[in-house]
Order: sequence, then structure tokens, then C-alpha cells
Amino acid sequence: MTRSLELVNLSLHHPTPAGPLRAVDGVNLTLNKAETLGLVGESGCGKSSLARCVVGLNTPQEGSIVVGGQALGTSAADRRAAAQRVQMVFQDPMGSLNPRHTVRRSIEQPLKIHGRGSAAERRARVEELAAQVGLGLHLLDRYPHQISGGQRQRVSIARALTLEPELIVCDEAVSALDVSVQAQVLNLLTKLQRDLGVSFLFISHDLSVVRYVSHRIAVMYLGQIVELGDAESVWAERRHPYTRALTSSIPDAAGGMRGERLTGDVPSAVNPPSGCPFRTRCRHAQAICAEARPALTDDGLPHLVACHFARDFAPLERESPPVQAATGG
Amino acid sequence: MTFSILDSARAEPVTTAPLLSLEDVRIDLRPGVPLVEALSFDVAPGEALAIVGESGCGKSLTSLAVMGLLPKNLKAGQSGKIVFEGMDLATASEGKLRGLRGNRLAMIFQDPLSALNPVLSVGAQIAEVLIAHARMSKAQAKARAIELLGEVGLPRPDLRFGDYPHQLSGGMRQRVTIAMAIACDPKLVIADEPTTALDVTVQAQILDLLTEIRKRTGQSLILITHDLGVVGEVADRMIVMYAGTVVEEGPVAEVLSRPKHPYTAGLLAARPSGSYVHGGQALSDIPGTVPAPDARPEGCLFAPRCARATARCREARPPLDRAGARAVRCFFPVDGALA
Repeated sequence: MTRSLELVNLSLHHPTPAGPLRAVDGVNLTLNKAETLGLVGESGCGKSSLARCVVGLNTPQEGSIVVGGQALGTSAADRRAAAQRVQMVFQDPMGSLNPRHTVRRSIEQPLKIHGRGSAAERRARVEELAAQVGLGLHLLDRYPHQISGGQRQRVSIARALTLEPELIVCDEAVSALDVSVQAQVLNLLTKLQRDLGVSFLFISHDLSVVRYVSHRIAVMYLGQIVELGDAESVWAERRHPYTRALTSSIPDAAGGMRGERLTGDVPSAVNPPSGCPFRTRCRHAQAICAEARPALTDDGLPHLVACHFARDFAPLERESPPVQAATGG
Repeated sequence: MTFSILDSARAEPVTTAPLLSLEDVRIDLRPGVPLVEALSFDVAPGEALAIVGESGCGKSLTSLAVMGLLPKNLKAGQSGKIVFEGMDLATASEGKLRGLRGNRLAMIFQDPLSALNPVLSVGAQIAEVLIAHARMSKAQAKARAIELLGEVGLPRPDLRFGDYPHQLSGGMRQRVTIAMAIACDPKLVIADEPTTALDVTVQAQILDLLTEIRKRTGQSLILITHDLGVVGEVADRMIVMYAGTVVEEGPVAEVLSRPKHPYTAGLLAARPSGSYVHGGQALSDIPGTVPAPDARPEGCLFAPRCARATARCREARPPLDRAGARAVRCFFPVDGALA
């Protein structure tokens, strides 16, 4: 199977007065063609830093990034070539769209920059893209402030699709939307994947959304991947205590959050805990957790987990999934 | 006098009269363009009421109207009443309102970083509330502020007293604004999206804290949220707002399991569940968006987005039909549990 993305031992350190902040710390990930990889974690866990590395907005100190079979370089020509393989959709379209450009101009701009097509061809392509993302043609001559939040996010998606990239990085792309509009955009993303075979690196703090759209899920904590595997396997087993804590914190329309509650906040990535990064908030931490960093390994489990005691946790299926309980199945 | 939350909770007699009552409240953007209209609901003492809806439905305006904090160009109660402990807030003087706010009525906002003063220590900000409203001395206020920081779950509150907002995490900052809100033992706390800016793990802690405080003190809580999961965790009763008015009301467990209004049913069905890529189905979205205040339809406000709408819905506005604890504003309510 062809790979859309391959990250090998990726590390990104930001210099701070107190020492390097390890935003991304030795991450290995692959993403297949027409696949969605969901990346979850709390704020400050390194999700967005990783996303910015993948699209070339951050330059990692270590490791390699291969997008669509070609390494992501740092020269201007490399960057321009990479833009045709990977694009990004941000959380806030109001901030990522130029307020002085019409919708049409925003969607057309990548074609102009890359010198694709004549004016008439570009016009036709913009209209084709608008149709693909469900934007009425009458909206093309409006400005971002004249359309709704859901429509703005459709514009961002159309713009990301313009150069037919292999991979689109969605960084909290539906988080700012109301639930009914969020559903519209999620349906659009799954439809685009079906029609165009595009891959998504889908970053979100919302596990229900990630579970819904993803083939595979990676759970990130303090710059490291702590659990990785098939979406349903990760969801059903939840072998890492952090994954369990995340899921048991999801508020439940049926009432009564259950299970383990996390206390405190994510520790500073400038001075992360020794051994396992999660041990300071983990109820199950033992002496070994402070001494050795657990490897991300399957070790007889159906997917990869970085925990010394992963095999001691029984597979877990949430007793009653919140929404199904609320809607009567 | 010193304030003890436990004392006052014990002293309060049990009453059945509502603590807060809104009757047919209307807030106009300009004449003929209401932002909020025909808004009526009650909050009983000790009750947690959730107000749910998408952006632009009037949830936050409603809370600002109760607090008397509406922007100057808007005015609540051009018609209707907002009665809190027997006093009509819509016609109350600014002085009276100032006496109530922070004292009998308190509010928690979404973003604690902008709700807190960045150049004042968090302890001093809590003490300020106590000095202003509870007439405490500086020393008393400091001691009580440290107690409050402990009550809302800050570790080593004596050390945190002197911290500035930027030195605390988002969750800790929200705990500080909660401490400020409950400092004078208010009767009603309004929390406007208090956990929306927080991570899910921290959100769970804050929701637990709000519930624990309410159970301990007997305060009433109005929780404004767009998240139906949060409603299920925290509230006893809920109202669903759409385009500036109440479309459904009832006990949380009943509304979430057997919604009557198509909008409520649509919101529930639009939540992602299960997995699309592992044999799931497309989400049932609600087409379109909430209409702008100056573009609201003649008939039912939800009719343009409603699959059940008929000619009748497009011509006349349905009334809010009450039956027991439930109320719904729809000519053709959804019947039974959702499929």
C-alpha cells in the first residue's frame, strides 16, 4: 500500500530560557493513502507542533518527514513542491482566510501561485471545487465576513483541495463549529475521501469526533505517542491509562461520567517527568515508571501501547456509549 | 460578619416559589428586530437549569439580561419581566443591580483569562469581592479568600493567593473565577460556557466542582452550553433555545432520551457516534444555519431547516405547549424515542 505520510523519529524542540521545550519527542507515524489518522490529546501535548512540521511550518531538529513518497525539504523550491502534496485546514477560518479576498480569489490563489491553467481554466476549477464542497456559486463573490462559519470552513477545505494534495492536515478543523454544522463538515470530509482518495491527518481534542472519522487513532501525551492502532481497537481496549482517562472524561448525555478522573494539568514539556511522561498523573504508576520510558510496542496486544502495565489492563468497552443511549440506539 | 456557606444553606427555608422567573422577555436589537422574544422560564431554589442551543440562539443575551449587563444599546423588558427574589430586575435601578451582582447573583464566564484582572493577584481579586460586598476587613477577606481557593480545589491555596492569572493553568484560572462567583454565597450562579475553553479532562474536573458546590450550598445554577453531554452531567432541567426563543423545556433525562422538538432531536442526532470508517453512517446534520435576527421567518422559526415542516409551520408561529414538566413549541412534535 502506498504511504501518504511517513514520520521517522521526529523531534521538534523550541528553545526557551529554561531549556528546550520538547514539543514533539521521537514520533514515528505512517499514514496510508485514502486513510484518516486521528491524533488526540490535551492542549500542550504537541499535536499542533507535529501538524506544523508535516506541512513545513516548523522545521524539526531530528527525524524525517516523507509526504507522498518524497522527503519534505527546507529550500523554497522544496516547499513549493510540497505544497502540492500536503495542505492544511485550520481551526478558525476567519483567521486563515484573507478578509480582503473574495471566496473566489482565496480558492483560486494556489492555482495562480503554482502557475496552473489559464484564467478560464482556473475559473472552471474554482467552480468545480465550490460544487465539491457544497458552496453555492453565488457565495464565490462574497467576503469571509459575509458568510457563515460553516461556509467559511468549506472555503478553507476547497482551498486546501485546489492543488489536489495527497494529504490534508486538519488541525481542530471542526472544533469551532456548532454541532449541526460540525456534522455537515464531517460528512463533507468523509465524502471527499471517498470521492478523491485524499488522506487526512485529523487532529482534535474531541475523541468522539476522532473515533467517528478515523481509520486509526494515535493518542499523544507530552510530545510522545502513547497509544496507536486501529480506531475500533484503540476505542474498545483503551490500554493506556491516559486514553482511559480521556474517554472517561467525555461528558455523557445519559448522565454520570464514569471511571478514572485525571487530576492536575499536563506537566511542562521543558522539564518532563523522567521515565514515563504520564506517570505524574497516573494512578497505576510504580517505581519502574519513573526509571524507564516505556516503549511503544504491541507485545501481544492488538495495537501499540507505551505503558509498562498495558497488558494488566483488561480490555474495556464503555458500558453505554453516550449518544446511542441518548437517542435510543 | 463572617460568611459561612454552610450556615446560610441551613438557614434557608424550603420554598416552592421560583428564585428567578422570566416572563415573556423580549430584547430588541432595534424596533421590530427582536434578538430574544417570548422568553419565559423559571429557576427553582437549588435547581440546575441548562440553557442549550447553537451560537446566535440568544443564550448569552438571556444571561446578560438577568445580570443587568446587556450592552447599552439593548434593553431587556421592553415587554416582560425578570423577577429575582421578588424584585423585577428589568426595571431595577443600576444601584440596586450593583448590590445584587456578585452578592446574590454571580456569573462565571467562558474565558477566565479575560474575566480576571491580569495585573492583580488572584487572591486580591477574590478579597476585593468580599471587601466590596460582604464588608469584610482586609485581613478577614484574605483569610476567607484563601479558604475559598482551597474549596475550589487549588493545591496550597496560601501560596496561590499571590499568584497572577498568567501563572495558573486554564483549569486553575477557571477555579479562581468560580471562587470569586461563590465568594458571597450567591443564591444564583450563571455559568456561561464555563468549560468550553478547557480540555476534556479539566472540563470533567470543573463540572464535578460546580455540581459539588451546588449540592453543598443549595445555590441555583444556570448553565449555558452548546454541549448536550455537559447538560447530561450537570443539570436537572433544560431549556433548548433556537433563534431567540425557547423551543423545548423539560427534565434533562426526558428531553435527551425523548426529544419532542425536531431541533432538539436534530442536535442529538448530529453528535458523532460510533465510527464512520468502520461501517458507520453519515451523520444526520441539520441543513442550513440559524437565521439572522433580521431574517427570521414569519412562521415557525425552525421551519426553513425542518424536514417535518408543512404549510402551517411556514404561516404561523407555534405556541409553547405545556404538558406537565415538558413544553414544546411545535405543531408536529417528534413522538417517542428517537430511532
